[in-house]
Amino acid sequence: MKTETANINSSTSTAPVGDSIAHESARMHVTGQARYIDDLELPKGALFAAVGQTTIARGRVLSLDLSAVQSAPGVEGVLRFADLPALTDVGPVFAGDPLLVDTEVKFHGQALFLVAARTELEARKAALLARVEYEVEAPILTITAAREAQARVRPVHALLKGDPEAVLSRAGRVISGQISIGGQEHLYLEGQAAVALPTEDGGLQVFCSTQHPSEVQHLVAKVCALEFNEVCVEVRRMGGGFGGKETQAAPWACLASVMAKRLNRAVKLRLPRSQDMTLTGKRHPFEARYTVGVSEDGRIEAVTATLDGDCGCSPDLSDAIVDRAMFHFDNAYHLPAARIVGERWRTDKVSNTAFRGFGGPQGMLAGEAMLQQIARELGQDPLDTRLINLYPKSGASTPYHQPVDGEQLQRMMKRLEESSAYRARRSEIARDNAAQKRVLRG
Amino acid sequence: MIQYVHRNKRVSEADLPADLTLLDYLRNSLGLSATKEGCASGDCGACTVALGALDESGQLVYQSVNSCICPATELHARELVTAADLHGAGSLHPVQSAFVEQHASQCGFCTPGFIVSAFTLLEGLPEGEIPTEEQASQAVAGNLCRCTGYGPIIKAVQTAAQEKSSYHSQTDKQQVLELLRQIEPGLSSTAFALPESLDALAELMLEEGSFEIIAGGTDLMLEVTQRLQSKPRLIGLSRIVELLKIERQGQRVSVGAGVSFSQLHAWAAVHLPPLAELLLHIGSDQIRNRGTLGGNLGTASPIGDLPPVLLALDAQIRLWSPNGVRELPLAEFFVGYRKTLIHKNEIIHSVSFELLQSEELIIEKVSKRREDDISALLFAACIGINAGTIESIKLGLGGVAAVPTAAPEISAALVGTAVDTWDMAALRQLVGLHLQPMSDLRASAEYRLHCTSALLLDAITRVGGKYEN
Repeated sequence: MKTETANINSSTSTAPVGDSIAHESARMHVTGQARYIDDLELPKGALFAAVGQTTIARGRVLSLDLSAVQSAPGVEGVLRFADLPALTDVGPVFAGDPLLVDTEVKFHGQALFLVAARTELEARKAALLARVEYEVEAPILTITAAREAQARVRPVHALLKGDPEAVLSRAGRVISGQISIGGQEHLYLEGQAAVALPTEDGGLQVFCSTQHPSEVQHLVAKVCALEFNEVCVEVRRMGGGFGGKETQAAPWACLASVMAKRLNRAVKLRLPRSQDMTLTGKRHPFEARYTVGVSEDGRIEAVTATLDGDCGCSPDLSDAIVDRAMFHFDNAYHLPAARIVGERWRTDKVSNTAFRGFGGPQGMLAGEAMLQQIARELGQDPLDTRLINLYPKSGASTPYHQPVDGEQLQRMMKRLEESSAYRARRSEIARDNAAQKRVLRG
Repeated sequence: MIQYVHRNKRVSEADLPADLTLLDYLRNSLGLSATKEGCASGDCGACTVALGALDESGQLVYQSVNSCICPATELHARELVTAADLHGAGSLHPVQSAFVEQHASQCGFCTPGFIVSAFTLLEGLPEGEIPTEEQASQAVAGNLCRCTGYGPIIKAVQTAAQEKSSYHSQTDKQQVLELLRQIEPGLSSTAFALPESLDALAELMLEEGSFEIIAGGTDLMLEVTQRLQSKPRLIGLSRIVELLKIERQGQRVSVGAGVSFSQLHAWAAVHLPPLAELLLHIGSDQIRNRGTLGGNLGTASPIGDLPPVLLALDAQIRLWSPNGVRELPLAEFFVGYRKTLIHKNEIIHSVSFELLQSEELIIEKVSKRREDDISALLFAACIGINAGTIESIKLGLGGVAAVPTAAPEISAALVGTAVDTWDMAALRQLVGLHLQPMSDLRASAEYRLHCTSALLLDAITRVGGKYEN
């Protein structure tokens, strides 16, 4: 047998820092022995749950007839909004995320009811049998439409440093631009899944694939009218999360738990991929607009920017995510005067959520797009535009007034320029392109 | 009775439901949870297993498949290998230990699938041969890792090859070969049949009762896993010897409908390299090992990748039924969105075309991802140019109409003209006159028209040798 962890006993004085140590589960990963939620053995009589979803994006449920669902083969129970015993909204910071639709439909594919059956296939088939009457309303699906309707999940706010408008009015050159940034699905390879088991003392044991077990514990307790100490949440490991299992794992653990309490049976709820992709939030799409005043040599003097976040139908974590985009708009560059506005637009789509970088990448991308445009309009090498705008060695601060020392940054960029042979490669490419008759890439 | 070999033992199963997937059979029927479900639609590769079969020379050859969209009954007369079967009591398989040492797993959920894909690649290489980065990358192109570990994964695949050891010891291998030889190849049960010949198929088709035909199942099984449809009775075409042949008579080649993309790739690499290049961009190894030529034509998808190529090759399609065969030009076969001229009780038998003489075959696939993606546009053209004049041109276009189309009006306008007379504006006008593509999530109508024109210009100028560089 290979002893993957033997090198812990390294002779160097810094061990184990710097040693190559295998992942604690690596052996189990490669042999398929690592168990995820879907691999757990279930107790006798365990049921499988499936979610019934809305088929409109916005409107009201006029009637919900679950009789065909209830009488479908293998079905042991259904759960609708009116059956929820206690807390019905699992919004992590602010309300806005109902476990099931009451009457208001907030997005296409929203959870409308839960059905539990003896097999997963029976549950999934039954979930398709609901008869629903809707009053359909026109949905807001884009940032532009949200702006027109002034539909927000949270109020707008801004970072302000100096008097950017005044500086812009006398700047040598003013450049405006915009960038549109798409969303992104987490696609954690293990989809959302939870198993809830009623305990002998009236509590619940919940196995869940989540990045936030304590929040799941609290929410399960609240939706089931239990004390926190009556709910035990266990996360053995996750098959990927990337932010998609921070708040988005809770609804399924909560629904499985309510059903488990209701029927006093173990209940497993695993979202099939197509449902996982429609029922859970994604990375926030953003639109960014900026107006920047620059000197003739490309130095930024002032900027006003608006970052429009597409938050979907509820606040979820969007307040902090749009903040993070605002904090990162400067990226590595000194903005002597700046107004950075962050909008939290509401669209009638699944609520967007945490995702690797948490708004940071979108803010940086917008800032870099601005730098690129300055270079293009001034006919400057984009590296020069960036170098001249890097945070200086002293005396600068961010748009949120934190002093920044740019010495490391300056040194790093200089070294990158040299080690990549940037200038030589660039002129080589220019020479090569000039000799081509056809337009190749770019 | 379904019989297969697993862990050096023969396993027998009485009737399994026809639409039971191999993944559900493993996970739910047998309780073997090492193989994971990531998407249940053949996209992510978490469910990858290897199936071993005897090739023509009696050797054991492994192929990776997506167990989530493979009927369990396809196990018949095969050896099953999953990630949980590779390690011994006290030791890991070289692929497994390389993944551990190279830090090639993070969340671990995709790992069993990667292990099997890597295993399959190495089993197919000669002893001691280290796969190139390209080969290793190609072998795992059908496995999604979301923790971003492809660097270490590819390194692990190459590292494993250095201490490669065969899965079976020599004695075990003899035993497995013997067990496989003992299994009757054909299979016929009330729910599922795998006839071995067209005669056996004819008998089954003439029996009473309804059935559906399944070839590779890479499309059909999605109706089971995604639309939750039942398929109570299936007749599989995967073992019918007449459909698995690639035959050549003079300059004419006939490819059986049951030929898989992988099998076709091996042939095309020698005889039709542009097609071989395209095949590497259709699905993944797992899909190419199951998906067939006939299936790609039978579904009649407007974005199927092979129909445009075969249209450009001016192929004939041969249809078979218990009552006889008929042949027609492929261009006439597609009559509407996912509609063909095939009759009930008829199957696609084969496709035939002439090998290229002086013409050149140009194929371009436009898709968002390089691997394992659906075409936004498939451009194929068979072009003959002499002294700057287009002497012949046959087109095949996918993604620009409700059916794969040869766009004969465009070809007609080009034949006899000088390459020099065409520029982007003129071609865009010609293309716009005869094609009305739709806008969808893969591409806008305008993008499709622009691409078709640009690829056409590129193709005729390249073949015309106008630009040397």
